[in-house]
Amino acid sequence: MSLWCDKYQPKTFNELDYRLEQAALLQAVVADGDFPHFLIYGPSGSGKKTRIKCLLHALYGDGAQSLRIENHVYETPSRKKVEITTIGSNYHVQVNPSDAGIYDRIVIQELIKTIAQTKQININEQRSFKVIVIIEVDKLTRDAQHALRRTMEKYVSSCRIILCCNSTSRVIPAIRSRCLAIRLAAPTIDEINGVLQKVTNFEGIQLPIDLANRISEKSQRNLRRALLMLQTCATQKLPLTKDQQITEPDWEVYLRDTARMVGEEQTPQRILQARERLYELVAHCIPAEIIFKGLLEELLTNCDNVLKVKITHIAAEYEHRLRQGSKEVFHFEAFIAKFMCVYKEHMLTETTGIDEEFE
Amino acid sequence: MFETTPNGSSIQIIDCKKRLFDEDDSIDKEKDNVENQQRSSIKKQKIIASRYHRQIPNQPFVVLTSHQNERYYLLEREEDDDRFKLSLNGRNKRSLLKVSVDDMIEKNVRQELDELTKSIDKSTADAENDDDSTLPIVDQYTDELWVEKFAPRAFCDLLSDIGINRTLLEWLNLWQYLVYKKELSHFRTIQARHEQIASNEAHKNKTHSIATVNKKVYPSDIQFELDACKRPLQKVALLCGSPGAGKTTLAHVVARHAGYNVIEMNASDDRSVELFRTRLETATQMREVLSKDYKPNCLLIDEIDGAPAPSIQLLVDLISRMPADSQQTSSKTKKNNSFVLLRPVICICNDLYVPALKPLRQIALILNFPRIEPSALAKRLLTISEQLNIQTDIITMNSLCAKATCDIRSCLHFMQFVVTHRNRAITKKMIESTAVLGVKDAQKSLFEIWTEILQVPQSKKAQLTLQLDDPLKRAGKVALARRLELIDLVSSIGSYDRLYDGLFEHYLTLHFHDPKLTSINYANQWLLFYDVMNKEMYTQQNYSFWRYAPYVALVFNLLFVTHRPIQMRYPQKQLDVQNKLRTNTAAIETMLNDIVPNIRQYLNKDILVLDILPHMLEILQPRLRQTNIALFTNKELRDIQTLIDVMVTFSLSYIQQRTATGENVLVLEPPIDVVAYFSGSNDKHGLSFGTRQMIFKELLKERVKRNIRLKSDKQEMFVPVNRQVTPTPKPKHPSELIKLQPKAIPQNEIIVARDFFAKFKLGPKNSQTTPKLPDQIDSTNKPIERKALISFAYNEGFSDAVRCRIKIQDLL
Repeated sequence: MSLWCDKYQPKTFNELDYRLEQAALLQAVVADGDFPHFLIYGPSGSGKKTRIKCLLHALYGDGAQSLRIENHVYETPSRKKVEITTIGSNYHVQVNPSDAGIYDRIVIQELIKTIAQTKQININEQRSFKVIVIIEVDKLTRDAQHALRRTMEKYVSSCRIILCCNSTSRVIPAIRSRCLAIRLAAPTIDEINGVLQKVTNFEGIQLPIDLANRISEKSQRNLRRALLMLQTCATQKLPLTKDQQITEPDWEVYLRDTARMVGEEQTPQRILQARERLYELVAHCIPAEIIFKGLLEELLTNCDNVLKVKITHIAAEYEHRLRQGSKEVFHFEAFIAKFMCVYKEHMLTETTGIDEEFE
Repeated sequence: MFETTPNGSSIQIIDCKKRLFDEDDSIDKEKDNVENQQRSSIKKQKIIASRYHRQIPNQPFVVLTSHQNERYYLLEREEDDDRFKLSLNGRNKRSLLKVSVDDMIEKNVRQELDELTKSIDKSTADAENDDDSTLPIVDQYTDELWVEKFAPRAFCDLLSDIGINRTLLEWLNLWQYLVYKKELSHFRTIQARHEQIASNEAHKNKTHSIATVNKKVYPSDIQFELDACKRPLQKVALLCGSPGAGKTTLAHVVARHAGYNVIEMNASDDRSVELFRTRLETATQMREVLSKDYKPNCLLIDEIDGAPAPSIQLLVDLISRMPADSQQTSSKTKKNNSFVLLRPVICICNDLYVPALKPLRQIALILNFPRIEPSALAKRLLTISEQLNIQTDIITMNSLCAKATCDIRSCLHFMQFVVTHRNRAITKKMIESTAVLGVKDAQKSLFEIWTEILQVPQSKKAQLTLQLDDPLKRAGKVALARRLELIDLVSSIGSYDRLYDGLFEHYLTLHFHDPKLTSINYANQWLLFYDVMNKEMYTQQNYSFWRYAPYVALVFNLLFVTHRPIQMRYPQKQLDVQNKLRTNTAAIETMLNDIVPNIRQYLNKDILVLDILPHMLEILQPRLRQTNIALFTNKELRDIQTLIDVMVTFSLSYIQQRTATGENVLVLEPPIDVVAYFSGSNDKHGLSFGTRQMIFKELLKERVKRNIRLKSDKQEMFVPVNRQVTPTPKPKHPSELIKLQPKAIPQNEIIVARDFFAKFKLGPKNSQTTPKLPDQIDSTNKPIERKALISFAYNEGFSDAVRCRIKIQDLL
């Protein structure tokens, strides 16, 4: 428990630092003893799982804290064995079905059925239902989501489902309508600052306000990242100073450099170099959409407004196609080529336009 | 008609010899002599007749091969025959006959034998036209495929490359020391000769430094050595080449030439492992084979590239098994292991690089069939058509060969087809009308196709591919015709993934003029189109898109075709990246699996890679001076403490490895630093070996401590025994940990002594006493517990020499 982001994680609703009204509402809903299915969504590092944890604590008390890991094996109709790991206590199970890839439908069906079909024996002492936490719902295949929607209703008496995802855009409307959707926005810079100050107080460290601001901004309003950055800073140099260097993740630097290379020069050779670097990024387990986003953000920095709109539009289109296809590097390269093409054309018209003005 | 069995033929021979001697009788007037003669001659006939065998006799023999490519074994004459000879000589002196009876008999027997073998051949291969002077009638054409009819029967008739033919024969002859029990001395001489030739050759090469490839007598592939069983080192010959090159024919002819009985297995047979084994064993086992009635077998496995991999593996296992092995294991499982390969095996395949063939490739003698010389084939076709009275000329035949890409089979099929339906003439026009002879579905290799796509064809080649009378070409649309042909070519290969990976990897290295990068953009869009289609095909099984796949190649052709020679390499990058990704993912997953559940519930792979790892590695590598841990500053101690805490909760560890330069290094396990750091930035990070070693030691210590705590926590629940250990179940506050750490090393020994006494005093006495309750309350979160530890020291010095069980937990 020694990473600060883990060490200072709130365990109950009372310990939360931001979005307190929402927390109070959640607490009230749970206090009644019964609640609908939840769909909690928001960007990474905004505290979704923390709130789920608090919720479970409010429901079941300390019993929900003693966790164990279980491995389940399910068999597909084509006799393929699918292994899935769940984390759970006596009262709840947390599962990430997208680990099973395209077989997530089987996991969803079997898991919920087995859990929902066993009722709590001692109803007086405990809740009459168990909770199933499904994370990364947006990564579920369509089949799995369809399988989920009826199961959710059918077993509502014996289990509640908490869905957790980054964005609802890939969750089918049928599921969205069956849940109480709770959006958890990323914490604001001030809120992050507050948390950072609180943590440093506990640790007995002085945190200059400037550094706190810089960290919050660099973290892109991701609290987990902010805390990790703070801790890294503290490891590197102890009395923290306000102009201290903040270490950025290697992949971010690498990705930014790649994008910069593309922006600097538009030749086939550059594409070739960029491709090597993109291969490297893919090999280091960086998800494709993150690469796409990083590329776009950096490329947009030296575009004017007209071009910005165009490029963003192109990026959206290529990202969409990436999801339809399977070879990531093809799509990156196609995007880069398209960017270069558009950029060159734009530059050309711009310069000729200026020339005309001169004349 | 004649019977085909060896016994039948010998009866025939005796019969005809009887007739011969009857004639002799009429010439010879001396009655008692005649009787004598007759008796002795019958005896002699028997002897002579019995001297010719179609199977290997037990006595010494001489091998004869008839022009029908049949083998006969002539027994060598024995000493007993001398008496018989003498009597004949006596008769000769009277010179009643112009030719000696002996010669006549020999001659007649020869003739009879020849006729006999001929007729046997006839009965097996029904119509033998080669020797017939009368021309066959048109109706007969339908009887048999010409491919069968005109298949070469003798070694000299083979069309395939003479070097290959000879190599195979040489290899097969290496088996004769085992199969025919020929003396090894013979082998030694051959080997010596071979070596001499080889050395001569080497010498020649040295002196003249001119490659003398054509003069080589033996291709270097054959290893002229025998193993302990007198088998050649390469026990299998693997013939490979395009269809219609004459591989099967060659194998049959050569095996028969060397006197083997060919047993063929091909794709039409079931080739499951069990069946494969039984067939293999029955075909090659010595005992069953060497009974009197048969020639030795030679197993011919045709179309082996289609066989399942386990079967091929079985074949390889059986081949590489040594007889010594089988003796050792025979006591255990006699049936399975008694098998040793004692007969030659010839395998035939089209595609040498089928994955299943890999094990076989390594041990076999590989003979790669080149395409047959078009001129030789054309000449042969002309001879055949002359025999069949078909009017044609050499030019026509040449173009036929070109169109069929030198496939003998399709040439003959074409001829048969055309002649049956039309007049007995083949003209060039007939060949060029694509309606009759479709262009052969030629499988080209990937490299050829890449070249075809990206390189402007040389003029000669273009003519060759486009020589056919294409309607499009006639209309002047050569370019269009070429493109269509390209699509045909691309779709013939089927594996678009490889093909386009190759194109993708290389198109940017080509020379093309594209200042605005539009063509790159365009090509990429096509690639994406293909990729999306491909995914759709494989996930939805919607194969109707398959037919659009080859057009991507056409786009590349249009955009990037170049005159310069291109250098394609096999696309490796995708595979490399995939492998790397797999190892990295495995590292992340092992890490994720070992994280304690309390933390793991908040993590998944992406969070770990994107957020946690890069920062965690920084925390794992604080700036430490290289001194004793006791001399560390507060900050350093704190860093170490966090570091070890992190490593324990995330179950990371160091393992020792030896680098290529021989240094010992400690690396993280699982290797997450490899995942998080990119090449180039690796070197700026990293702790020295000494620091890592120190960390590693501390880590081990901490692990043991925690394990004990965990255990004692469990014990506590049932039998509360030790008060001084239980109070620290988990590190609660860092401030407290800071106090703990500096004491860890210097106090080690003192604690040993103190705890020893405390232990056995408290163990029995205080187990159920009153101070339990308040103490437990203390233990929850107040730092007073350190005092409790020390408070036991007051009894130090007291000893009552009782044996007491000390646990390691008390010593730490």
